[in-house]
Amino acid sequence: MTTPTRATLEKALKSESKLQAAATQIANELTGGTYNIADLAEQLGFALTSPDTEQRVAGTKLLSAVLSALPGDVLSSKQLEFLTTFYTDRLRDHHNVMPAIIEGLNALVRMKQLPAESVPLLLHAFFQYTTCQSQTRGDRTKVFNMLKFLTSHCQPELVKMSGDFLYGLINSIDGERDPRNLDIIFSFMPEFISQYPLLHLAEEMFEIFACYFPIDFHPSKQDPEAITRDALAEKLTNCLVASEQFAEWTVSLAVEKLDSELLVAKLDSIELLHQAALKFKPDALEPHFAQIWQALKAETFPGSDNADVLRCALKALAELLKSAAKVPSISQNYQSTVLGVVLPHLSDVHHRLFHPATAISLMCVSGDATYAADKILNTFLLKLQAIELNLTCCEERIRFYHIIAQVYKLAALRDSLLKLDKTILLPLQDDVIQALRLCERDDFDAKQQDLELQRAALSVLCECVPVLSEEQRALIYKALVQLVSHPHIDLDFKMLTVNLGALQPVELQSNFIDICMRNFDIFSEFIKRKIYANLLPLLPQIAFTQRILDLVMRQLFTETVAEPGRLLALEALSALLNQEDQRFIVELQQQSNLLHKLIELANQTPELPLASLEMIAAALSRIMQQLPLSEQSAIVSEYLPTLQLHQTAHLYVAKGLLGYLHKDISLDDHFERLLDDLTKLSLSTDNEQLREIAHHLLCSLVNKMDNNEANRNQVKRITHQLKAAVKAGDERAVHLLAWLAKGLVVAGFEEAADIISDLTDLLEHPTLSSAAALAFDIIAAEYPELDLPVVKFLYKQKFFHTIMNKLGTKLSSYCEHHMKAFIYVLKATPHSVIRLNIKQLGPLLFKTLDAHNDAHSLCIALGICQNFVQQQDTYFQAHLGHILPSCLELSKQKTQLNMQVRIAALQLLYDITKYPTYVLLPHKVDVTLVLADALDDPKRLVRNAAVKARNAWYLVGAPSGD
Amino acid sequence: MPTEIENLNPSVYSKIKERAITANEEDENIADPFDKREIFDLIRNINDPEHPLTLEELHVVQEELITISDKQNSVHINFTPTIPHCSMATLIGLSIRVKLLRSLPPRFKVTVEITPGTHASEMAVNKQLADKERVAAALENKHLAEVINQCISAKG
Repeated sequence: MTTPTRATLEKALKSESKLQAAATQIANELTGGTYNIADLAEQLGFALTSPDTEQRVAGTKLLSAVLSALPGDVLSSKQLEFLTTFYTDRLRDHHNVMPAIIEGLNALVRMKQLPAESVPLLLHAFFQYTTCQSQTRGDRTKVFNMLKFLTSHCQPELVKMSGDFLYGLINSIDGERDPRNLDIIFSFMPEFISQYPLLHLAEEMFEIFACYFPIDFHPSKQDPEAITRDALAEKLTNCLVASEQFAEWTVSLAVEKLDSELLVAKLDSIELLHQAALKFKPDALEPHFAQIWQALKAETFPGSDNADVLRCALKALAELLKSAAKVPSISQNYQSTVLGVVLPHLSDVHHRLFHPATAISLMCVSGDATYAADKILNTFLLKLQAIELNLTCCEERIRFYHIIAQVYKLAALRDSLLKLDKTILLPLQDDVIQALRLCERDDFDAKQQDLELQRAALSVLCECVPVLSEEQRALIYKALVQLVSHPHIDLDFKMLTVNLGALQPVELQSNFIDICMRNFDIFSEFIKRKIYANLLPLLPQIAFTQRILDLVMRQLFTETVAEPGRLLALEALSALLNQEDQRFIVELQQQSNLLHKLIELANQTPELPLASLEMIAAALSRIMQQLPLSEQSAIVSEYLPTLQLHQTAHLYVAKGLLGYLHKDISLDDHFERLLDDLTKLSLSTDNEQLREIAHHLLCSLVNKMDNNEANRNQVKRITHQLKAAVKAGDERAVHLLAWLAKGLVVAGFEEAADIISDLTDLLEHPTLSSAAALAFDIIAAEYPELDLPVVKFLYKQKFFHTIMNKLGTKLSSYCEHHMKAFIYVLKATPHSVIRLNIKQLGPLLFKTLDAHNDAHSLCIALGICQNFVQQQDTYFQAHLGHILPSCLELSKQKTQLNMQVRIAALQLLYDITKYPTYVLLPHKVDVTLVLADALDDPKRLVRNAAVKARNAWYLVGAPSGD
Repeated sequence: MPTEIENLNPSVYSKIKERAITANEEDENIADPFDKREIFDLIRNINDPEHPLTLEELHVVQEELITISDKQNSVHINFTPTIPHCSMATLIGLSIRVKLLRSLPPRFKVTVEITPGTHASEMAVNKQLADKERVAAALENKHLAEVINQCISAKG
């Protein structure tokens, strides 16, 4: 292949596509070294220097396209110098040639070998002979991309150009209006501004950005990847704070725009101040602080209606104070200005300005904790000393305490708690401790007081543990012992004991824990419960672990402990097992063989009450869940054969051991016996509690069983047995069938279908139809305490479809029991599945709403409708004419229905008001008229719902109702 | 803006706690009569036209100033403007009236008056608020209805 001839080149210049193809080919050949760029230029000369503009455009375009397609390292510096001269000259050419030249320049500056001195030459010529803003949008993008590249790669050369480059750059950007180009500019300029000396052009540079602030831009809805307003605003803000020289102008700009009525302008201005506080050094901002504070004060004190503005303004203020904290003199200057305004308002809680004043003072603390906290706490101390401390509820004091607690907390977060002035802290803490100790007084009536003050005092003490004096701690221990042993007061002070325990374990041990334990046996049940509640959180602290464990174990397993005491200990054990992690529990089991002891405890004679057995079962299953598989399996094979399930205690132990057993542990050896025993128990006993345990165990067992022939046959055998019992009219057998089916359905066994079709047939049974409907509730409902580990993917959907097909014909004729059973199934079906089938289900739901015979299924149906209405579903929107009268009817009092139905109906009426006004307006008069009846309902809760719904309906279409 | 507000730093009081639901209220068979607290709950969350605060927080309405007789179907409410020459008094009174009109059964006769001795033109305002025709006419006025709706549409 040789150099392309004039003829081929002429042909290539004919059309855009041919030109691009030729450019790619030439670029490949140049890369391959077949000929060099000088040869090309020579051949192309006819076009590049042609007197015809069209041809010059085409020629330049081809050359530029070749350059763009070339890899960056092919051309030598000599060649590039030559090209630079060529393009510099071309810049003087006709306007039409410009797009091609810009493309060429863009490619040229990216060449690796480009001599450094060429860049200023190019730029000079570019800025001199053309203006960026007179190009089309696409070309401007290329120019800005080129400038972006240059600012990041050719820093030294550009610095040498000094003012000229800046001036050219400013001119190029000035007047840019396309958001895509602005996005590029705002992205690269902050870095540029921060690295280049701006000379005398700083203000000009600032002005070209300031004119866009605040950004007002609405991206078109069709464009999915449109640049958003917020993204642009964020980038613009970065530009405005890019250089310290901008500080003065930035602040004026932000303050000026903060005055605007527009929410966006306000938020942007506040964000600009926030960023300014982050980026500028304190001494750059100091001269303008008064101005900023005035502006922020207008937004925060007393504060605007808009929560966002308030929050952002406080954040900006906090950032300002925080950055100032690095320079003490400036910080104190700021703080005294701000605190001077807000502190006087902290003295009266009833003033409108009290709340804003607290918010601002907390910001001061978060900025410079040592300085501000002292001042603020001092204000509170003076005020507290002026109020008398007595038993009458003192709202002021409570609110002060809550704020003081926050001040302490913030100071601790800033590591300044220990630096605060002790002469203020100590009397303040004395006051708080006195307030806490009010409940030690004889005339303190625990029944009348709501203990709010004591709670507030505890919240302060929790935070100030590190700075309490020794005497104060002694008083606190005394107060705590009083509180814990008080016969009526039940105050939660776990956080305080945990904090004290972490810092002063020895003191806490001797002054609080030991006292609690020493007299433990003589305390009443109420006090014992409090002691457990307060000691258990200390368990993770290693200093106390053993002692607390010993206490619980002694109470559990000492034979002399009377019954309420043991139940309490069992409750404590449960709480302990739930709060600790796996490692702790496994260790506990290994060291003390807790499991064995608990089982023995359960088996003791005389038999424990059911509540205690329940707790033991819970503890057993918690321990089992944490143990490794091998141990779980060993324990099961050790204890299971000895259990006689008809004995209550054994049943509970079985529940504990098997309820949450891991699904991989095979129970095949015991499966038959367990099934038989549990079935027998369920069919024979009248005790509902025991039956429930048997049901849950059965359900969980069949769910976890290995999918093999033997097990399945066992299940079939039991099913037959139950069916026989059903034929004899036994309602219990129906329930048990439902539980079996539940376990099978969740695991996706085929046998479930058989049971379900039996249950479906039973819906027509003269005596067992209600039980059969309830059976569907059992299968569909979720039981959080039930362990069903084997879950078939999408089983709920599958179950729903099975039922829908089975009941299909019956449903279309609206048989009562079928409808009821189906509503139960719907309750558990995922919303998305119902939505997919809403065309079929809608009429059913409406029919249920009109039927008025069963409160429970009505509530479920209303709940489902509510889900749809809350999501503004269009199907329901189209059927409002049907739902509204039904709901209005249901909102009236009727003998066979209860208040839950009325409340749900009224709630649905309220939710409906969220639909667009034009849909609702035709119904407004009817609804408001009928709802007047519900306002006089005998039940207050119904009336409340009616008031809410009726007021919302009045606002539909009313002027500024929303 | 601040110059337009008549009372810039009014006293603000805390809100009472939400009414606890009692076992009786959940029992279908026991009727709950209307009481002071229920009426108070209806009007305490009305917004003040000037501040982003509720009438309760400004102590414009107080539970003690409500009298109700469920049997005789009457409700009487006194409200206290924050300052004696408050120009918003009529508007506040009107908001309370409208809220109750929409929230109480029609059997009640509702009277809304200014607490005696707390406002400069007490009689005039009371007369306006008692005049059904004027209340109805006020609601026909689009601007007035807009302000009232804003006041009573607050959370609750």
